[in-house]
Amino acid sequence: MDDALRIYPGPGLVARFGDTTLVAVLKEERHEIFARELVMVLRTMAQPSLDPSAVRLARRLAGLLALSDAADAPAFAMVSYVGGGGAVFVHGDVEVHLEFADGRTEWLSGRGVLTWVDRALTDRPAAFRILPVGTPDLVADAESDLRAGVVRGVGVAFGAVPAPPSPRQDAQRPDEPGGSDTPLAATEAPVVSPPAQPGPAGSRPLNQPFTVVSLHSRPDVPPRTALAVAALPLGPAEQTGPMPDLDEDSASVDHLMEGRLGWVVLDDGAMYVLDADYVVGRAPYLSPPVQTGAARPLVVDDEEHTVSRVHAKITLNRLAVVVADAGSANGTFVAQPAGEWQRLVDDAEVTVTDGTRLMIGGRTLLFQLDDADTATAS
Amino acid sequence: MNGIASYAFLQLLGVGDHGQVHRARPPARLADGGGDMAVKVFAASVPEEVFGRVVAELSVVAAVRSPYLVGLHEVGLQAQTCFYAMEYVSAGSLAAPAARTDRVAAMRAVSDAARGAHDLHEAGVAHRAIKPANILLSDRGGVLSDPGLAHFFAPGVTLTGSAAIHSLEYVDPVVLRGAEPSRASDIWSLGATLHLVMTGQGLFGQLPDGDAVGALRTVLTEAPAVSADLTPDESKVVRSCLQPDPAHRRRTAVDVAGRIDELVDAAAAEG
Repeated sequence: MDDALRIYPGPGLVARFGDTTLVAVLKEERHEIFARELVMVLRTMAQPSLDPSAVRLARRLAGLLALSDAADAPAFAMVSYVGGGGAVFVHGDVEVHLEFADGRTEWLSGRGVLTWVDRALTDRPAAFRILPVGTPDLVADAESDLRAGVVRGVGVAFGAVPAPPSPRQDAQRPDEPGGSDTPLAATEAPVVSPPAQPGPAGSRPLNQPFTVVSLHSRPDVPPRTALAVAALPLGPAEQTGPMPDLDEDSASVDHLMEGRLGWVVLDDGAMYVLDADYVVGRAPYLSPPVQTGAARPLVVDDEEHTVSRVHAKITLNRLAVVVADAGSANGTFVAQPAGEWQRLVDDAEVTVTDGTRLMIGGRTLLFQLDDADTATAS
Repeated sequence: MNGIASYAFLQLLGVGDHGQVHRARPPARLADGGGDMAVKVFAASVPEEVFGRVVAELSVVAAVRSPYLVGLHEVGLQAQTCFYAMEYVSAGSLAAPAARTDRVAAMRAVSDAARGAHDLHEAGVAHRAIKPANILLSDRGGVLSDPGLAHFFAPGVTLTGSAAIHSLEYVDPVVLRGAEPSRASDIWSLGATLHLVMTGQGLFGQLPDGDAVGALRTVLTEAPAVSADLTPDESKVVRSCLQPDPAHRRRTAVDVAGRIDELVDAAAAEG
C-alpha cells in the first residue's frame, strides 16, 4: 500500500509523527507561535513509543484552542489513528477528506464552525487529504514523501495519488453557467450518482456538488416495480358490507396497538413510536445497529454540540424499555418521575417507567409508556 | 438559503412539517419553457442511503399520472440536504388560500384531493399527510401535494416539531397508535379535512398549542366530535370516514370523492 504523505506546497506547516498528521495554514505571523505549539503537542503525545491515543490528542488540541485567543489560532486539521482508535480534528477553513477500505468516504470542514469539528474514527482511513477550503487548483508535489517530522506545506494527501482537481462530472456548480448542466436522461435508472459531499449541519449548500434525479416520465420504471421500497399495507379496495354508524361502533382498536410500548417525546415535540430499538445521537447513522437495521436512528442535536454522534441507546427488552449510555462525551442522565437526575455510567442500564426523562446534552426526552396511556383511555 | 442545486429561490412559500417550500426559478437543465417551480427543502440531514429510498418512493409517486396530484420534476441531494422540485401552484392551499374560497369550492377541492389520493392508492402508495395545507388550489381544481416522506428521515417518528401539532387532528388515531399508514388512514384524514372546510372547526376543538403531549392525549382519548351544524347527509359522509375501526370506513378515496360531489350538488341546488 502506498503510505507516502505527499505535500501541497504553500504557507503552512505539515507535521507527521507515526500515524498522526497535522496541517496548519499560516496566514499571519502570530499563527506561527500557535503552530509551533501544535507541533510540540504532537511531538510529545503522538510518538509511537509513548502509547499515544488519538482521542487524547484531539482533546488536547481542543484544550489548546479553548485557552487561546481565537485570532491567534491558524486554521488546522489533524488526522490520527493510534492506540487502537482514530480521531479527526478540524478548526477553521480546512477540509479533511477520508476514504476507508470498504469504499466509504467522509468529509469534514471547519468552515463556518465557531469552535471546531471533531470525529472519532472506528476504522483506519485508507487514504485522506487535508486542504484549505476552496483550493481546487492546488497540486500536490508528487515527489514528496514525508515519513516523519515537520516541513512547510499547506496540505497533504495520504495513501493515494491525489485526484486531479477538476470538478466531478456529476457535480455541477451553480456558479458555473452552462457546464455540465444537461438534463438527466429519462432513460437512466434512478441510480444515485456518486456522493454529494456531506457538509456540516447548517452550512449553506450553495456551492457544493449535488445529485439530482429526474422525476419526469420514466418509461423504464413501471409504477409498481419500486414497490419493494414503497409498498404499504393498503388494504383491499373492494370490500362490501354495511357501513356501521359511528355512534354504534365503539369497537376497541386495541388489537392495532400490538408491538408498541409507547412513545419517546423529544422536547421539540417530535414523537417516536417505541416499537423498535433506537440509537440516540447527533449522527446515529454511524452506529452499527442502525447501519445493519437492528435499531432506528433518533437524531437529537443541540446548538452547543454537547450531544455526541452516538450518545445513548433505547432498547426494548420484552415489555421493558431500557436506556443506557453509548459512550457519549458528556454523559446520559436519567430521572424517574419525581426522582433525581442520575448519570448512567459505563454500561449501566435503567428500565424506564411512564414519565421517565432522559437528558443528553442540552436536550430532554420524555417516555410515554402505554400502560399509563391505556389506563387514561379506558 | 438562496437556492439549491442551481434553483434560485424567489420567495418562501411556507414552512411546513419537516421543511420549507420555496418558489424557485428552475435551472437551465429543466428549462422547458415552463415558469417557476416550487421546491421543498427538507430540514433533516439526509444520508446517501436514505436518499436512495426517497428517490425510489418519489419515482413511484411521479409515475402516477393524475390531474389531481401535484406534478413532480426532480429530486436531489446537496450537502446532505434533500429537496424535490414540483409544479408551482399559485392560488395557495385550503389552509391558506390566495383568494377568498367559498365553502362549495373548498369541498370540491377536497373531492379532487380524494381522487388524487385514490390514484396514489392504486399505485400502492399512501399519502400519509392529507390535510388542508397539502391541498393546493389550482385553475384545474384541487391538487394533492407533498406526499409524506417523514418516515424516511426519521423512522418511527410520528410527529416532528411543533408545526406538526397542528397536523395532529388530521392523523388517523390508529396511525398514532403505531399502525402503518394505509388507504384507510388517508380516508380518515380526508374526513377530518372535509369536516374542517365545511364547519371551520377541528374535530377535537382547540388543541393545546405548543403542548405536543397534551394534544396527543386529547386526540387519542377523545372521540372526534362531528359538528352539529352539518346537515344529516354531510355528517354521514364525514362519519363514514372517521370510523374507529379502519375496516368500517369508506372503502376507497374515490368513493369519498363521489359522496362529496353529491353534497356539493345538493348544496348547489339549495343555494
